[in-house]
Amino acid sequence: MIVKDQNIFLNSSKKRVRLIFILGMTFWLVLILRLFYIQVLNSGFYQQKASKQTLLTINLPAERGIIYDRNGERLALNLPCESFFAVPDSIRNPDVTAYKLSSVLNKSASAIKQDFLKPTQFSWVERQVEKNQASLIKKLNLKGIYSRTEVKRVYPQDNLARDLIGFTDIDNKGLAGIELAYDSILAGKDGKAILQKDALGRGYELKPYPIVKSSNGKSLVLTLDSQLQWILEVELKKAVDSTSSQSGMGIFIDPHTGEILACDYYQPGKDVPFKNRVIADQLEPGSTFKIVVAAAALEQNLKKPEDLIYAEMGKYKIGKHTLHDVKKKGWLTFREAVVHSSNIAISKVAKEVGKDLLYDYAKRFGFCEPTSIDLPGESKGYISSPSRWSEIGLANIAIGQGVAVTPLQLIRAYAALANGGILMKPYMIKTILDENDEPIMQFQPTPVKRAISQQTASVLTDFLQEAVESGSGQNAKLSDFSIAGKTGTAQKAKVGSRGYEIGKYIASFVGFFPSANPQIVGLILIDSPQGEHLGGHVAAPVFKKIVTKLVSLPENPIRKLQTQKESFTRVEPDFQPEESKVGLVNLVYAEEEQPQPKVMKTASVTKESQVTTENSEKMVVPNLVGLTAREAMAILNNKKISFQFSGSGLVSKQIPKAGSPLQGKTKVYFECQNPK
Amino acid sequence: MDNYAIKRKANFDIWVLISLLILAAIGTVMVYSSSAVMAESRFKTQFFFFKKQIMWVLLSMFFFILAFKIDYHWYGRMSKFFLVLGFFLLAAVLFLPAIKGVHRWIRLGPISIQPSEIFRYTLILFMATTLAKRLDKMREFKHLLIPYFFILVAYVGLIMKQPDLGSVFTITLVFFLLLFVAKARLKHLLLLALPGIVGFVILVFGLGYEKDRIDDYLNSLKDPMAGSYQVKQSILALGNGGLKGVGLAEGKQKFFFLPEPHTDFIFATLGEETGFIGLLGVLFLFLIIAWRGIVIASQAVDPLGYFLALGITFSIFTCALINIGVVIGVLPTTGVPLPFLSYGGSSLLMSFVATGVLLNISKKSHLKRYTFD
Repeated sequence: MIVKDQNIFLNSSKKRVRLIFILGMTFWLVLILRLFYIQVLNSGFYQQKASKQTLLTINLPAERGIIYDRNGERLALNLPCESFFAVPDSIRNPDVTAYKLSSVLNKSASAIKQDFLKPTQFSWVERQVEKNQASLIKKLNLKGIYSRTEVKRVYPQDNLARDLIGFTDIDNKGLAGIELAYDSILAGKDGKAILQKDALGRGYELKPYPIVKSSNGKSLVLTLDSQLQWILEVELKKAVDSTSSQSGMGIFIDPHTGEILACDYYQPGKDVPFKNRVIADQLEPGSTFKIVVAAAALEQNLKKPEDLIYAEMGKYKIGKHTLHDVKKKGWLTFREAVVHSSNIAISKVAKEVGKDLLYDYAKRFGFCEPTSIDLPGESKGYISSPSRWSEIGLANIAIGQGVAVTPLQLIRAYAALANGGILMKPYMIKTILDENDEPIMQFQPTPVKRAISQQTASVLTDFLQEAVESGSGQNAKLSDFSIAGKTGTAQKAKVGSRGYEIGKYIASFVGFFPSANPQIVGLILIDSPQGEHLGGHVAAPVFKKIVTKLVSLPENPIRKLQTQKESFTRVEPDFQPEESKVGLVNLVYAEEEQPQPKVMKTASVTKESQVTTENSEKMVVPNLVGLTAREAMAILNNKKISFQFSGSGLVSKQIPKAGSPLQGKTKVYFECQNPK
Repeated sequence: MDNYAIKRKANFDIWVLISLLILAAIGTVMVYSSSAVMAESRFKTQFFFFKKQIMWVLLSMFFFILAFKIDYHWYGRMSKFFLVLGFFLLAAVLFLPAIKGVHRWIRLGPISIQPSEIFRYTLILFMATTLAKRLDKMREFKHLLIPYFFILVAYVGLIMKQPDLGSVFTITLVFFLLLFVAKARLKHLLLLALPGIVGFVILVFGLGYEKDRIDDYLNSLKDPMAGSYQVKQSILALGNGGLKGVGLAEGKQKFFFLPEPHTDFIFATLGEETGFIGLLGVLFLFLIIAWRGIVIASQAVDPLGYFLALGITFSIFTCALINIGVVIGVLPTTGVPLPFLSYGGSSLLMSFVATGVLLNISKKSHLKRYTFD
């Protein structure tokens, strides 16, 4: 009976057990569905989230390439420095920390504190801090403030050629100039290490993520000569300041190669150069454009140097318009017309040359087409189609009005005169070096086309030499060097509307020297000088001063250029000159013909002397000035010379001087400074 | 029919044993995998928890065999003693120094004992013993009240001092399930549960003590990532594992992201490293234990075996479901270990012992035919 009751009980109890089991199973299924939702349907989403918190990507910054001038002087380099950052969560007392930091940094405590209150785990306090400042901050020993070594881009030559070279932002990304244009080459490629991170931010190295090594940036060797650049910058500034001009521009190039040797734009009070005015500005060339007319007339045998032209005593009516000359002349030879830059005589010649031929010669000289220089932002210039030229239009264009050219186009045309008639492609980058300073790409001079025959070029050179000797460009004359050149004085065209600004001129001089064997072509443009405004008075003296300084340098660039000519003769351009190969052969021939051996010898002598100094280098104190502190230390360590130093940045002073004999335990002291 | 046939038949439930062994093996591996990083960092050896776990597994095996050998009727006779012992331990733990901020463990040299895990089974044993004797009385409210309800109140009162919400939750659940299968009236059970429900409501909405947890929980139901930090990290671990898992020892969430990667959240680590497939396997093993446990109960030779087997099965299965429910964010976060897998001596030992008892019950079940009818 009891057993039977038990059975009744158990049977009904088992129903309840079954109910519980079904409920349990249901919940069990819910769990599986939810797991399916998380792990199968949405796993991608969670995987991404998980890796975000568990993977730590560490950037391994690549070192930016160095920018050298043609002689190996460093124009841009990198210096290690300290940067400070805050981890706001670990700061105990933001007020005190901010106050202490403000006592060292040039920042207000409230500004610093605001950064601490941001909801981040990382906030820069101050980047690229000077060394003594950095040590002060470290001495504060603040919790939550940490430092990291960064690399700072510096321009050691006192910002030489800043317009051209440009600059980088604080993260070493190019923002302007060559730093921007060649950013991809200079920057290199950052490497990265992906580490697994735990919740406390500690990194672990994992097998599946190998470290991607950074590849350092490539270095650039520019065609720039820093000595010439230096002289140009100093003289241009002086000239602009002394004449209270709006601005000034100067370029120097090697006529045989098209290499830009120096290039500057100066405007008092201007700050950040974002475009290179030398290749971006378009302006009316004025008289310097007259060589186009002259070249066309000579080349087409329309005029011989001694042919006579009547200059109308300084006043010449064409329709309603009147042309004026500065110097009132009667009959002039063609040569004199160019030498004295007679507007009237040249416009008469232009009429004979004709619209189409003048246009054609302007194109031959490369005007109004891009020079294809290896820098961005180049303008093309402007010349209207000859069919639209009126009679006065033709006369105006002949004297460089109503046509717009870039300073680079202008100097390139003169370089063609200087090198015997070949239009070269101008360029700025000579060599690209890899991380070990081995050249990986070398840029060669590129002839574009033959502009004029060599004979025409030499006749014009003759004219231009005379212009400097006795004509409009006398202020550029030098006693021991013959210079060929042309002045220009153009009315300044209004920006954005037709017509000219009254009383504003652009004074220019473009010339090359030595005229017998031109090595350098230079262009000086002074915008809106006060008082004297003629190119001959304002621009030519600047050219003269620069040349004077240049040739007085112990190792002047002319000599250097000549020694580097060897490489040019080796060039085998694939370009076929329009007329014949003759021009190019002539050009090369002319190079070989030049009385170079003397110079070559001096070059080899200096090389030998270098070798001997190298041999005895162990015995003397090495030159440290200009090196980074790190490099200096490396050299001294290498030579096992004991040393002591102060400061950070580049070595500015050393005792004893370079070259002093090393005796026994000479100790070298050097002082470093951060370039401004 | 004859003794020979009886003897030849498998004399215990092999399914349960196999499931138990597989789970224990998975648990041991996972305790190592999930604790190695933390152990290395805290104790300078990645094997710290692993070694302890192996020791506990061996100890548990010994007691498992012992429990399997001992006739379960012996426990029935000792049930009052065990219950008193359980209460004594629960009370004692409150007078011992707190560990990790709670009075949950009694430390005896290198090992620590969690009294609530022991109490869980002493209560089940006591209930099974007494219910077996009152089959016809449970439909009366007074028998529910005395002694069961007061025992529960005393237990809850003691354990809330620790505090240990997870234990309260799981033990209370098993308590009600056992009364339910003992055919207590539903309305009586609801009446008993009323104080608990009222207390819970006051706790959550009145005092706000547990409100954040509940809010987190409700949010996480809609969006798994909106829950508490633990649940979020746990979901990330599971999601990161995907279908097949990232591979043993390859999990990343155990790198201090996942709190308790080797104890209460071991299922998340397992999910990251073995994926959906691995978890499905573990879920099936628990289902097998539940199913076989109920079969063992229904074939038990007497009401004591019936209730004891049910109590043990309910306890293991509910603990597993609740632990997993927490880990995947469908239940509010409470600290409940996953039987057989989680690191933790008392839970492991008691689960093994309980399973041993369960198998002992199954061993007797073939006698049923001769006893009943």
